[in-house]
This record gives sequence, structure tokens and C-alpha cells, in this order.
Amino acid sequence: MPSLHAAEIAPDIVIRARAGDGKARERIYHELSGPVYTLIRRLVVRPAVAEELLHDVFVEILRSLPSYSATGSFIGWVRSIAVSKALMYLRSPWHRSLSWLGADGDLPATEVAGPVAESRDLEQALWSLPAVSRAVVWLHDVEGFTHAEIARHFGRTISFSKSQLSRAHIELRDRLKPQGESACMPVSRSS
Amino acid sequence: MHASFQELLAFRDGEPIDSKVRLHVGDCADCGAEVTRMRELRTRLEHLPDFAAPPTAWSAARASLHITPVQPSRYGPALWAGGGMAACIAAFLWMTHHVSTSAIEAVRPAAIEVRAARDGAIAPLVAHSQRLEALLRALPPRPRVEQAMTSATIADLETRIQWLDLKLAGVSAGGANEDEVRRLWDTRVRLLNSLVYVRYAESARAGFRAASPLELGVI
Repeated sequence: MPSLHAAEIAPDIVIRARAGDGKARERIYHELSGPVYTLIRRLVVRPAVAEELLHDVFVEILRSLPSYSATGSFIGWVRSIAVSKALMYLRSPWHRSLSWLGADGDLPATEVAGPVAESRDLEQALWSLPAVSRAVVWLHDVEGFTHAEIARHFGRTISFSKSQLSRAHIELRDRLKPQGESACMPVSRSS
Repeated sequence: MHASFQELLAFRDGEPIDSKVRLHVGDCADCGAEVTRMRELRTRLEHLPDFAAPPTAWSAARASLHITPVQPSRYGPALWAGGGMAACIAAFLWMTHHVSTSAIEAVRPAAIEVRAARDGAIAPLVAHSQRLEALLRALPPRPRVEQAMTSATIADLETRIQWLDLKLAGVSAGGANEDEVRRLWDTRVRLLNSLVYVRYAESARAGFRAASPLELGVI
């Protein structure tokens, strides 16, 4: 399961890392780099950018460790930094210009994660979503963010999060439906 | 009438929804099937495979935190490829428009020493950056109509420079080591160089007649 909130770091490791213990810091990196990188890659398509963001996230985590209050979940703190960095990139003019050039849609099929054949259709459907919809559906359905948390990260309203999630699900359904099957359900308000 | 997607998602997630909708979804085979499909989709998303973090990421992070000697540049392909591409486009545009020297002579900078970028000191790189920025400011305003590729290249270079500036601000505040700062400044100078080329070519296309960047020593 790729979700970062499923990861665990023992409290004593965090305490040692905060005190400057290099081995504890490295342990945190090795335990969390995979889930953090997966989270970033799901939000940011381009591997080179994701690697850059992974670096930035861990530099910030390790630099900020001494000021980490330790009152909340350490994993939640890490996840919040990772999401903020990724969304900051998605909002940047750099990303917008790449999107405008269509560069995000040019990734070769081999870039689609997962050697598992049965997930390939879902990978491709997920990657074909607009960046914001993809981020919202991943944060909500996999990382377990609430609509309020998503809205806060995006600086938008809860309705924005809900409508983006709904849009993402509609698009995923349409892209994943078997050939020849028409999607006709649901759509209007119940009476 | 069936429930909307938002209502079905709220039902799936156990969020508060209108009691009529809840009753409808409980009784309606179509809506029930859709909720089941949504649950299955969430499960499939949760079980998508992980990505493996790049093996060099930890050593790069340690380098930025002064834990070990600095690693080779991590900006590598993305920044250099962009800079190289911009330089090629600029050179091509310049060659096709045979620009002559005149108006920009007044802002001609002192011969810019590439040596400064190689000798490892940061101050010369900062000075080099400032000279390139002065040259950019001296160019005429950008034309209202221009080629999409030129515009995109300029936007890309400018955002890369902004991105570097953010990083420079961050490393200044965080007290990064000198190698890291020098590497960032060196990258900034190279990107600015490319930007000068492209902006110059753009100005030339719009009828601005000036000394070429080559003649100005901005290489």
C-alpha cells in the first residue's frame, strides 16, 4: 500500500534525529523516502521534477526537525511538507508553461509506474487527469485527506475539493470503462 | 432521479448527506452499483505500486545539509537541457536575422569573464549576474506579437531563474555550504546568459538593431 499515512517511525528515532543523530536522520530518510516519493510522483508527473521535490522535502524536514514540536503525528508533519512542496510546484508558472506546451502528456508508456499489467490501465487513466483533479483524488482516496484539509492546502473551499473529486471520478470511470460500454449513470440530483 | 456523483462519493465516504438521498441509494440498484464501483476504484488506487526513490537522493540531501562533501550537480539534465535548447534557438534566430551593431552600444557591459564562473568564487558570479540583468533591462520592451516558441522559451527560462532565486533565498536563510551556493549562482548565470540570447534575438526580430550578444561578450 503506497500511502504515506501507513508508514511508521518509532518516536525514539524522531527524538534522536531532532537531537542531531545522523543515523536516526538517515533511518527516517530510508523509511519515508519511498512513500514520500510515491506521493510526489502521483501529484507531479515528471520524474526529474519529482526527484527535485523529494530532495527539497527531505532537506526541509531535516533542517526543521529541531523545531518540530512533536505534539502531532510526525508522519502527518512530513506528509504536509511533501504535499505543500508538490502543490507549490503545480501552482508555479514553470509547471503551467510545461502544461501549456503539452509536455506533461508526452511521457512514454514506460514511465507509467508498475510492472503489474492489471494496474496499467488505471495508471494511465490517473496520469491523463488534469493535475489538480489527480492531486485531489489521490490525496482524498489514498492519503486519506479530508475535503477540509485538501481545501486548506489548495487555498480553496471545501466545495472545490468535492467538485474536483467528483470530476476526477467521472473521468476515471469514463477512461476505465470497457470498450463499447456507455457511461450513463448518475448525474442529476435525486428528487 | 439518481443521486449525483458528489452525493454518491459522500455516501461512499460516510459523510453527512440528505436522508432522501441515503434512502434512494439504499434502494436503487444503479446507484448502489456505482457506489460499489467507486469503492473498488479506491481500493485499486490504494494498491497501485510504489515508486522507488532515486538511489542518489539521500547523498544529495546530506550534501545540502553539510553532512558530507557536496555531490555533483543535481539540477543536471533539466536545467542544462533547457538552457542549451534556448541557446540553440537564440543562435538560430540571430543567424537568420543578420543583426547589425548600434543602439545597444551604450549599455555594452564590460567583457564578461567566463573565467569567473570557473574559479569557484561566488562574488564574481553575483557580479556577472548583475551585468547580465543590466543588459536585459536595457533591451527594448518585449513585442506584443511574437512566436509561440520564443515566448515559451523565455517564460521557461524566467521561471527557472525564479525557481533558482527561491532556492537561493532558501539556502541563504538555511545557511547552506559555499559549494551549494556557488553551484546555484553558476546555474543562474548560465540561465541568464541563455535568456539574454533569446531576448536579444526576439528584439532583433522586432526590428531592434543592436550589437549581438556575441559582440557584447556575453558568451
